[in-house]
Amino acid sequence: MTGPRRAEPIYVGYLPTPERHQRLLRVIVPAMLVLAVVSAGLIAGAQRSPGPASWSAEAERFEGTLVLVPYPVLLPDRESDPPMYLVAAGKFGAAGLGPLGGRRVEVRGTVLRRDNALMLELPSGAGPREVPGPTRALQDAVAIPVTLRGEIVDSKCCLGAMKPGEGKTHRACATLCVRGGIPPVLVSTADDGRTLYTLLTTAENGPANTLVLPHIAEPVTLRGALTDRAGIRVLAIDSIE
Amino acid sequence: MSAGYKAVQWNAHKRRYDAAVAGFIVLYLASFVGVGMATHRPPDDISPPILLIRALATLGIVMLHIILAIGPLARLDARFAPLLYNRRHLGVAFFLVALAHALLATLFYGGFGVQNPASAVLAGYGSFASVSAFPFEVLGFAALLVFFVMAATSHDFWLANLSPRVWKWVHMSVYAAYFLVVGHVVLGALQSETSPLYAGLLFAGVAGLIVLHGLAGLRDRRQDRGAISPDGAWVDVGDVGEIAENAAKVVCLAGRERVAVFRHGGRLSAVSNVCAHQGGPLGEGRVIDGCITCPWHGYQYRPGDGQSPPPYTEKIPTYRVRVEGRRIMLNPEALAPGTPVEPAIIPPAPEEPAP
Repeated sequence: MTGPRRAEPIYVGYLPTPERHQRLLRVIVPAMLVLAVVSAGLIAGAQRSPGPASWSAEAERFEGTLVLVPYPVLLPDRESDPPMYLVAAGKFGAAGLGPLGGRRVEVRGTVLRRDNALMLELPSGAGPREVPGPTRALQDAVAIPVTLRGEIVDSKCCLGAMKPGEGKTHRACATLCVRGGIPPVLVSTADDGRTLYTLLTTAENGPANTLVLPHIAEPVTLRGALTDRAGIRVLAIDSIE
Repeated sequence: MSAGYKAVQWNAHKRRYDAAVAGFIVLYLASFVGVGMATHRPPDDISPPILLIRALATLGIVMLHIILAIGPLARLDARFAPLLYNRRHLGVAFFLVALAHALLATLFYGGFGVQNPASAVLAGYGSFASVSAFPFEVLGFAALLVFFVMAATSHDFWLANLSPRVWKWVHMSVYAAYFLVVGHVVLGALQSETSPLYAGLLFAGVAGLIVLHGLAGLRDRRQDRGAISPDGAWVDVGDVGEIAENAAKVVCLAGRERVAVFRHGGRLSAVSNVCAHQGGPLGEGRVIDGCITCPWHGYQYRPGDGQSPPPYTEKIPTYRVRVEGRRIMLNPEALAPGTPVEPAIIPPAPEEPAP
């Protein structure tokens, strides 16, 4: 006579772990830890490059002519030096500069740079100070009608405040920046594959912040007049689709 | 079991489980940030806060897939039961990771501006009618709310006070939240990050979970296919020799709850197959120390009356059972939870079937 067969032991958390469960755990726990390292590495390594952009940690001093329309910009003394757009700390455009428009000023701030485009973030409570010296006037080249396709972003994040500073996941930030007065730009791709950054204004050459708000971080087609302003591409928008 | 409530009833297994979960989280975050910084060097570097937001986001998605895979894996192969035992802690850890992702993303993307961060991220732009303009953040927020409710009610206090049925229903909403997360990723990050790796991994994760749950469901359906239609007071549910000592045979009665017929010490007892704690399959448990023991969390019931031994108070329905020759006869009418039923004596047999 034989007795009834014995059942496989089950796992109960407050009792010693049966051998067959231990065997699996000895494989699966280390495997999960390896999975953590490998999967994280693969996913992190596959991220899209935000492209070369920088934001200096140290404040620097600059002199030049302050132009306010359509956005505050510092024109350096040498025409070969690129103009610098001025913004405030956080997600705000530079405000309260009206009395200094067209004057020669000294400013201090941290520099954001992408390709040849420059921006200066003015520290809180330390705006431009008028200094003696010659001033420059902003000259527009002849405008040509164009159609451009791309993505509207805020210029501050785009130039290096946040990397990446475009794309769907950055939309809330870009919307907040543009709402706060930071100049909007269109990121598009030239026929030769280069990335182009085009500053956006209204058809009347005013700030386009309100106009572009509903279209930020979406694929858009802009029609308007394109001009070169001291080395910066500027599009006066006629229509947005 | 529920004689009283403690924040966590620690034991050695739970401590090891939590240590492994913490190790997984730390290793994942360190690897993501380390590799992200090594492969994206200045001036092409990714902002550290964004790197951390992404590390937490992808870690959360990986953890959510593991959490959802454990259930069907444990149903398909009982050796995965140790992963199921403390899954609640894994769930709470996942919620904290998801919360950290949401807080950081809200602060960095929605902060430092003219609006309060939450409304900047969740309101004021986008269109639900457009794929490219869909406000994907709303889906993530809705999923986070579900995960919060699940984490907040994960303790046995809520299980007892909401009732196991309501608690289970609340916690089944994880599947709705899972698809909210998938939508959050597809309508958000996948529109910016174009590497096929991301879409491929997400597709593999969704497909893997569907296959696992499908296989576990097929297994249950196979069990139900042999369901017995009770057409009399007593139903022949099999031979005594089919049941190993201290184990059970699960009997499917058409249109009724499954019944677990346990063999213990030369006797048979029949109880509901559904554990009163979280609905675990008691028939896949064993009789340990004289008590039917649930394979999910170790809840115990006396075979003779379906009651947890004092000081515990859980009760499950019992059934009348008797043995005719070598056949097991079951009365399909469930008795009230905790009703004492005299176990059926198994007569001596010349030979039991070989294992």
